[in-house]
Amino acid sequence: MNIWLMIVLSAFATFLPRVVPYYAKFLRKLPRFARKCMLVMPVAALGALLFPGTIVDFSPQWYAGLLGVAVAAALAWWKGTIVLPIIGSVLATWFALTCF
Amino acid sequence: MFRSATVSLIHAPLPQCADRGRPFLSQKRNASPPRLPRIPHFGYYGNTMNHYNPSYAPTLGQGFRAGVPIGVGYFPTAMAFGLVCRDIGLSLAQAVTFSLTNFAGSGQFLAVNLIAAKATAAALFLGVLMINLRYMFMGAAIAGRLAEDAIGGKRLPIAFGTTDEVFSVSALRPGKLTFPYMMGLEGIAYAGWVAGTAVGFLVGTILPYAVQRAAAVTIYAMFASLLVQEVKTNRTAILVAGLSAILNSLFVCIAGMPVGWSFVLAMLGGTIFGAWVMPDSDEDGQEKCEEIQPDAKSEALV
Repeated sequence: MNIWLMIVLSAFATFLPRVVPYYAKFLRKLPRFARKCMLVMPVAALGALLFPGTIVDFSPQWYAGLLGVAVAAALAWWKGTIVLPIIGSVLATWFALTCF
Repeated sequence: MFRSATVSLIHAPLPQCADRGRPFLSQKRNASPPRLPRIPHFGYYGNTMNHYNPSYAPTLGQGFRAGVPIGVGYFPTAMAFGLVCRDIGLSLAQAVTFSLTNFAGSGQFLAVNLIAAKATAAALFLGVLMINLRYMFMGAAIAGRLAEDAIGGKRLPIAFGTTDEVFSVSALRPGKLTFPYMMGLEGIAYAGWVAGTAVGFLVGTILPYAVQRAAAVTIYAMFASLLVQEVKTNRTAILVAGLSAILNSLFVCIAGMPVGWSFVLAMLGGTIFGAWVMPDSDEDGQEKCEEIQPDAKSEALV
């Protein structure tokens, strides 16, 4: 598997949906269900990205990833930023990996 | 029409009375001429816009200023991306090329995740395409508000730089969006994203091994905080994300499906469920974008 090819493919898959609406006008009148699908898709993606990756990636110490994600979610709920949750989460995971 | 005629009449130099040096139009002796806001007459659009509009033909510099918070915000997220790239064994050149050519937060994180999971090229293409489909909607909203100077090939770089944050900032801005403004706005965000990737990768090389191993959680921490922001504004998001998480876990751990395809299927399942349960309260998707961008509450989105 060539990583460069993957990067180019990913770039193409990103640029395609971005460029179409600037030249095609039909997109401004989409069926309501299609609109809703587009809006809700990133949220659905987040769920599938989080699990089971969080648990599988730290395989023998599965609780470490889970703890990190829980800390990130709590900090994000509390502060609403992205930097603090990431730092807190790395610290919590590091703690779980070294101490348990 | 009526309004414009009135305004230009008042602003025309008034004839003076010879004896008093005072405009003869004013009836009272001490009345001063009415004060109106200064109206830019000869701007970008010639003399066609007669109403007072502070966002008149936004310039490159205004774009830069509006883009600085985005660039600063992208920097740490891009650092996280650089760290993740290093973590899964990409080179510095590959990581930076990723950010240079893609310029998409969630899409890049997904792509890297799928590369690490040894997904097939077709699964990667489809997954990244689907997660980026929302840009179609955002692009359509921006394209409808572009000024007359952004035509033909000039729309290509604008399209390339369309991200969630760029969309929310330009949606908040009243008036037309000019090509220089969009370039300034997107350029500074792009610079922050690419520079952050390189710095994150390099920082990763000096971290101790234990911290590096823990840094693998960065990507999940980012997903979790993005999800929490979403849940804060829209509680059904947790149901949608929960369903796709359960589906993906079942597909991978029990059905033993390859990661790329299970992701695509789980995302589709969650999406259809989400579109089905999403409240139907407001008609046109134009307002719905506030659910993606909680800070983009404006009527400016025409």
